[in-house]
Amino acid sequence: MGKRILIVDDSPSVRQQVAQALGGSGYELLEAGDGQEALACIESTADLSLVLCDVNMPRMNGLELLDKLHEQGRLPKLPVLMLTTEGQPALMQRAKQAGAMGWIVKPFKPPLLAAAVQKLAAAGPS
Amino acid sequence: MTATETLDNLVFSCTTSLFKAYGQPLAEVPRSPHGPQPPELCAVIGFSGPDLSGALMIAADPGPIAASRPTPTTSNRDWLAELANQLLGRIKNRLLPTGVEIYPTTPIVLRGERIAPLGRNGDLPGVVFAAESGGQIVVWLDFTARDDLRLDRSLQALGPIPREGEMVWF
Repeated sequence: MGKRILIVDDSPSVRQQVAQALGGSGYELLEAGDGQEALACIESTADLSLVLCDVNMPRMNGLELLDKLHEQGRLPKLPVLMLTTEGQPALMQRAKQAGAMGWIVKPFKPPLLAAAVQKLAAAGPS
Repeated sequence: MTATETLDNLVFSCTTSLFKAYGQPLAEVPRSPHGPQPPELCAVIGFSGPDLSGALMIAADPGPIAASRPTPTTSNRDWLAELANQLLGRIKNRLLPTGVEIYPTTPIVLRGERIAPLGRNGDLPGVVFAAESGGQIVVWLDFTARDDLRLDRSLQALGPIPREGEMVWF
């Protein structure tokens, strides 16, 4: 079985676009529509290799999810890569301090995303 | 240049660059009260901030929405919401160096007839684009700004702001 990657975004279009970019790489892709759903998925899935996470989402946003994962001591062992329209340095700084590994501004370039995922998933838990 | 002119220019440049990124070149077309009916599907995303608040609306015919959609099976409705989100994000990032911060809401999508903006001075606001693939796109920004809002300054201390498609490793 391939490495498990969780895609967190409230837009089904973006989740599908990410899945398309990573298609054929042998990953097992899981999806969540907001931070709360993602947290439940992370807590019930033992062998996640990477989380790709949006920032602006309903119920629990991506930075709040990072804070929760930080509190639970899951970071940086579980790599998290932020994928968002935001480019605000203060938000990036907050994500960095919480333990995220990187930040991509949408719209993303599929080859760049695939390369970053490959690098992080290789280093993450299997 | 006034803040309104700067925002109008931002709406224009950010819309064309966003659709170009999804392989859909746009050309501005004159807006006319007797022109084609506005598209029936539109996405609205609100924003707030200490200097500037309001909403961005993007209405589009099914053709250019579908042509710009990178995935085959999701709906035009969801994709138009995401386009509104990415367009406002792009505008937000261009405003950051001026010291103006806005905070977006979750986009919503409406379907209706004759949805059209109301001008600030009785004119027809917004920008109308014709997509190369056919069909029209109308974008406008309805906002309230602080009276002395300046958008022509550049703050040096903010730090680098990544452009769309760029990645920052921590």
